[in-house]
Amino acid sequence: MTRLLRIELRRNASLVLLPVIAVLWLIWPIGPHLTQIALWGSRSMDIQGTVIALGPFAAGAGAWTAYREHRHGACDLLATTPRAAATRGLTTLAASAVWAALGYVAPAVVILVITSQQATWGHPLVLPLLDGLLAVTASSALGFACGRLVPGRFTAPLVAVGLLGLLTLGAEAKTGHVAFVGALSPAYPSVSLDASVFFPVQPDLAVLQCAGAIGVTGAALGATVWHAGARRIGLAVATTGVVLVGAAAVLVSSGHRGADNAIMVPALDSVGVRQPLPYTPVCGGTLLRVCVHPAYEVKLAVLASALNRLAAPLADTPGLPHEIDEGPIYLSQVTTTHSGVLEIPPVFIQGDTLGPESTPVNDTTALAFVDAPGEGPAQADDAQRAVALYLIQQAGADAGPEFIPTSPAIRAAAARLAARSPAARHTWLATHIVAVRAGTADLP
Amino acid sequence: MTIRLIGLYTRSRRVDWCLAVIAVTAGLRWMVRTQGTGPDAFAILLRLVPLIAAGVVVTAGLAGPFGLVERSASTWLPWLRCGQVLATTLVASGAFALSGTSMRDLAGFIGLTLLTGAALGPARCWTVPLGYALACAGEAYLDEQPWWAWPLRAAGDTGALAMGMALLVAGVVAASATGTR
Repeated sequence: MTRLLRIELRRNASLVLLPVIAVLWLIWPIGPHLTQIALWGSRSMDIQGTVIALGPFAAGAGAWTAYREHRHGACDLLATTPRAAATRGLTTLAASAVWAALGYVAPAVVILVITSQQATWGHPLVLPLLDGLLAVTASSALGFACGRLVPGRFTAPLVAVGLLGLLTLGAEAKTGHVAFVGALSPAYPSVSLDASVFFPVQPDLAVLQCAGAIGVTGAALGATVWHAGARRIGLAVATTGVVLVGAAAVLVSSGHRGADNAIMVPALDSVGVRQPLPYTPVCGGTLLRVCVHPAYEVKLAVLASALNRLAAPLADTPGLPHEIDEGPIYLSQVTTTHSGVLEIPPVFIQGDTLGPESTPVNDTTALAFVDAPGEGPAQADDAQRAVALYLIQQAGADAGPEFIPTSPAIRAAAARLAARSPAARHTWLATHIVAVRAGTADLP
Repeated sequence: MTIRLIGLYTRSRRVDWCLAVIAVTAGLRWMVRTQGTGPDAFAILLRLVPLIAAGVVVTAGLAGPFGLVERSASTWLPWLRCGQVLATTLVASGAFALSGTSMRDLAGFIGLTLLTGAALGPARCWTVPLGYALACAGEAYLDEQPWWAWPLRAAGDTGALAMGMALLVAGVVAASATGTR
């Protein structure tokens, strides 16, 4: 049996794909993440997120391996061997799964070792890491079962592409475009990263994703055994797998979003663990005090500098927030409170810039400077957008359409503001900023 | 004789089945038109996945069941393959045009899949396009647009259009000349 497994490992289709998987690991955005603020939660989720790239390749390789005998016309020849067909099938499946798991585990270990040198907060999250491993194994088993049940030249390509589509569609549950059940996709973040330093990790979704992956593996194993002739055992295992996936789907559908934006499932919930974690903020900045969670302390100077540059033209104008705090919120919720504190979500900083989130962070923060307290970015009027656009442009950036949809009139107004002399501009801002915040000002 | 040859060829390549799958993938693309809108990585992947599916169907459909016997028996094969690729690509263009897909992206992905099929074989024709789509999604996640990521460019970008069309032409020529191994 061990010898058979060794032969299958040597002759597995996944071997050819290992260089492709290695390239995928190198080009995946996890690389740039390694230079950012190192949170154990974030890195664990990065590793789980690679499932969307590795899963389809594991499934394609599994399907490709599964119909190898069919492709070479060797089905009858192998039927004469002393091993049971189910044993042969499961050994081949195990070899595919071992290679797929290795493609996940080996680079993951490297990333975990790097993170252990850099980490500023938390500890490795076992459940997302395990979830990724189970999902890659399940993808391999699913592809193998499809290859056995529907052998043909279209099977491997369509299984790989179809699985990528399914995983991606599930991940879109984050945007609300897809039903809650999509969160069972291992590509959906099983831990809410926005809140991972503010609240204890909520494991509900990770548990259900693991259960879903185990269920898919069970169903695929059952289908493989059933196809090999052991009908009763195969049907029992496949049914158990399908029931497990169904139960996970029902449970996740009954979930709701908690205060930390994590998906919480009443049946698995432990109310006591959702208390915010205590921490002492670290502050910096000149014009505005910027306070961050200690996990983000190493990049406080970059953040404070970027936000102060944005607020510079509003210095000494009435109503400017006196402090910017990080909190467990989304960018769409960025606003100034009535006590003059502007709350922003944690920002992952790359080098000396705000990184991929720079445009939405600039946009929402600039709007919060010129909005009335308590108003979100979506409620801004044209005059507020024009002043915000000027603030962003004078800081050397440009606005994006998501939070600051601009018309020619708004762009012209921002340009007029920029064309004034510094003294005239400051006078205009000091005189009109209250009306701008109240929503009663005309375009500059 | 010619009509009969083409008929037998299309049956051996299961062209009817290919066209049905292309229609289904175009339908799926239409169904995810809401989710596949926007600049984020997952939306871009959702836009590209049906195009890869159409590409792999066009490419895997080129594989024949007769192997070397067929290669040694006919000098018509390159023309038949060329006709098959052009016909299935044309049908895919029509079906995806109805679902509001960028023809540049479709052409580019069919070309890329055909080139991969010519180099690695029909069973592996999905590997490079899938990896490329994932790489593009990764760049979109980082809010970057490197020169090679033409699917991320705006609709009117002539450089991206040229890359997409060049891939299609190269793919059709390679697949017609060599088939899929």
